[in-house]
Amino acid sequence: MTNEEIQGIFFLECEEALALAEEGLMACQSGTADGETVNSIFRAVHSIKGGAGAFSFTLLQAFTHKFETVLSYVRDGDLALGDRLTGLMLRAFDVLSDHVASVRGEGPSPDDEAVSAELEEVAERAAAGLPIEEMTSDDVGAASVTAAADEASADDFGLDFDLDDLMGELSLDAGEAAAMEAAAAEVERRLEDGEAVVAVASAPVTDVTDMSSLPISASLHGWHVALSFADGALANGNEPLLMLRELGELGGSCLSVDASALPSLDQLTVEKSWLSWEFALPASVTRAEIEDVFDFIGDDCTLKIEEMEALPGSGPVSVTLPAYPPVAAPAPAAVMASVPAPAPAPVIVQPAAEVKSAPVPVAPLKEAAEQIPVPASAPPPSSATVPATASSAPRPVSSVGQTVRVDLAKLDRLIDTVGELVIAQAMMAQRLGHNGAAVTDEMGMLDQLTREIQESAMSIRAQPIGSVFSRVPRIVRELESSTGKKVQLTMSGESTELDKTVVERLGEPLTHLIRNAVDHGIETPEQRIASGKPAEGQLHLSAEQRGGRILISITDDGAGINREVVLRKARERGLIAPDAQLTNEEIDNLIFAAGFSTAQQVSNISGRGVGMDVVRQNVKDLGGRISIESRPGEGCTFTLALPLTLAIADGMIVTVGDQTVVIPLTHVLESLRPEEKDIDGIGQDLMVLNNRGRFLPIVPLSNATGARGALTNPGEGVLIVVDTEGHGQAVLKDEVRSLVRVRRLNLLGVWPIKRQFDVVFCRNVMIYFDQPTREKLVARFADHLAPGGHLYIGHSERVSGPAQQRLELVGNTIYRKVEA
Amino acid sequence: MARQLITFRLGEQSFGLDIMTIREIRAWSPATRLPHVPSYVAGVVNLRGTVLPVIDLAARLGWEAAVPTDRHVIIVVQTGGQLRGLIVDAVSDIVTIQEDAIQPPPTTGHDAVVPHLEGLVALEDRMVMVLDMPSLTSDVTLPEAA
Repeated sequence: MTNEEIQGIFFLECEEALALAEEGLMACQSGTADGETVNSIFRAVHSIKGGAGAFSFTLLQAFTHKFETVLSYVRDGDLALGDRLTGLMLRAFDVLSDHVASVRGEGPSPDDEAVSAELEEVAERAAAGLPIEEMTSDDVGAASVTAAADEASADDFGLDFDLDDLMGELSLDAGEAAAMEAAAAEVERRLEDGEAVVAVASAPVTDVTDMSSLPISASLHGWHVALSFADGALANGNEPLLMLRELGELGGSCLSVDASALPSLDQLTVEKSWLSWEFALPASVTRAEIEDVFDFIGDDCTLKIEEMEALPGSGPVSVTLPAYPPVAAPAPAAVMASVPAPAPAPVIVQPAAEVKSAPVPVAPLKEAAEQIPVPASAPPPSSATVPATASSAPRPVSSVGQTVRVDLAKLDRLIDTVGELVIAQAMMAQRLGHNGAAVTDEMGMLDQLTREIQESAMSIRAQPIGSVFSRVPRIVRELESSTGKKVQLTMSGESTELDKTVVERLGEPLTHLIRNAVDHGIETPEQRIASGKPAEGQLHLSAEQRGGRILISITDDGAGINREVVLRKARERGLIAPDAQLTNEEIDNLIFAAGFSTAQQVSNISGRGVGMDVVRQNVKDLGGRISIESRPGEGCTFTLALPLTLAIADGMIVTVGDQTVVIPLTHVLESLRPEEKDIDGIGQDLMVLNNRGRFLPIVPLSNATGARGALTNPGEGVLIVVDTEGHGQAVLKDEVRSLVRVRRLNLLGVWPIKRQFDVVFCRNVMIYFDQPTREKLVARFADHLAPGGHLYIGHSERVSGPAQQRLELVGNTIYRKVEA
Repeated sequence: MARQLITFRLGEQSFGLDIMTIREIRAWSPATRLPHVPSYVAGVVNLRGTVLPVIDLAARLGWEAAVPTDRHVIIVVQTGGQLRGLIVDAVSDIVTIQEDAIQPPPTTGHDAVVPHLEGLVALEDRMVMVLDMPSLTSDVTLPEAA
């Protein structure tokens, strides 16, 4: 594996981590966050930091460190989540995203000074125990002992390293060092906080002495304090953790933790305190102040305060661990090498940081132990049970799941083949039908199964639209700060799935529409208040599947489209004739005209007039359509209607006069023969169908196809109710013939078709190609025609090139393949 | 939100007008033709001293101009601070509808009526087209004759 490839993996992980973190932050913002949410944000940021260290992305690493510090306070409950903090974290997230983009070479290094400073300030306040906005739930009395214990132990378990984090790093030379560095940073931070209640052992940490080379910054002092807590300390309602923090607040730093007394898990009593500490405190603190900390605990604490002469300076923190055998995860092979053979599979062990000596309150250890699946029939050997400070579930499974990366070309081949299968099945069914073999159960089953295969093949390519939606909150935040407008964003239907290609190409038009909605649609808070609306604008983004289409709508409650201005501009720019009379809808649609922009001022957000026509083009390229519904003064909705897939469509064959056409079945809601009373006229030229109280305009299909001799009286023909972007309309047909399947085929691409056809219709398509392409195409048609098969082409086309030899003209525009 | 409509007939079709825009309904009286006005302006009538322009609604909607008889009715509407008369065949009813029962007008098809519709509403099994008053009268900029 080259370094680039490993970096590539890191970038992918960054992406996942960022998505995870953003999801969590959104939950924080909407107030649905719980302890696990903060944990998952922390883990995400942390894993980026780990990788950044390994690849020497120092700026990214430094920033993630600051971010992580604040997050750890939040997670520990030292900081309460409030608007200000959430806002800060969101901004930090944006900067983090920029940092990641910058190391990927996708952008300049962001200016993180302001956010960094704020993060540091918050961290300092938290360290000092000052509230950021609300009172923290921290500190106090016996009642909170359990809670504090939980928090503390949550540290010990959720902390430091993810499995994937390590796996990424272990395969690197620098990996281990980086991991240690990160661990060191963590130790350092916690020491500064004075809450180093825990000895931290790092990854394949068999060798604690590695850490002894780490410098410890804060240690100017004049006192040496050695302390341990008696067995009864916890029972008497004392909380050693709080005292250690207090020592930290006095400026103390932890010199060493002795965890050698810690027994193995099966002998562990949670009510006992197993650790002892040595602290260094500065000379500025008086002995009385130190003693005050331990005022209430009395005899439950063994305290030794000595004056110290030599400054330990950058002395090491020594951590004495009980002599446990090291723990290894079954997964990363790299770990195994340095470690004795681990226990057999049943014990799931997270390597790395999870291996820690227990803090004073140990209750959660038991929980963790209980989570380890140990089948009763196969009790694990003791070597696996002893260091049972391991917990399962190294990362949240919910959001990532198990995935396989597949080459897109392979996938497309599968989908093409499935397409062929579907057609072959349909042909077989048809042939059986012609030969009088009635539809058998087996045929029905085959039909069902083929459809299922087709659907699952399609769903492989499908992606939830959430991956595009997840960018939106950030765009909106940036717009908020650059425009000074207040916007509340809501989203729905993030799990709606559509084709991967569509999802990928949706980002740009969507971004544009969002910018437009905020820049043009939503008014400034002052204007909004003046017009009686709440100062905060609403922006709703939704996706839903309707029929064979995905509808994505962007709704704002802003001013809507100012039709007068639009009309005036359009006239000024000569987009329409000065005297043209336009309907409201036509006016609204003018904003899609090229070179149209009504922004009073060109901002860097939007207003250059190259916007909406590009959006429309993008959407068109995806086979979709865009429509606007503007309600002046109330807001505006843009709806994108996109095809679910570009591959296969069922169709309905219908006759219109002298023509036969196919209607994609995904658009068809129903077909019916109307009664006279269901038809109403609007004016002279338009008729509507009263479809159970809904009025649908009736469009004679012959208008569109130019068919001759078609029925014009809706009462005599068949109406097909079709659905286009949510507006229903009925199409008048003479007759519904049968159902067929239609597939798209790129004439110039690779054809997935293997068999030969009896008839090929390719009318008025070749005229768009140059001569060599036409000849090539004719040859291909000839190849795919069965001997005696027919080729129909358009009236303005002719068969040319070498393949001419194989096709004989048998009628106007009709050719037959010469028998071989 | 509930709204009241006055429904009336024009040819074979039913229309509705918001009752709040209607000042009064009066029997047909011959209008005085005006020079240089759009063809759908049937002329002016004197309404108790106020002279107001009368619009032939059928012609306005692109149909054949009405040949007014005594059975025709003039609906006097107030829009944008000005009074207008609309010639219709017959007034049918006053109905109460919910605002959300109004369906948007069809967006396909190009009949001259559609741009002047606020929406469609189903009343029992009839369809009533709700007219958008401002759009009907917006381009008739006749000077107030009185």
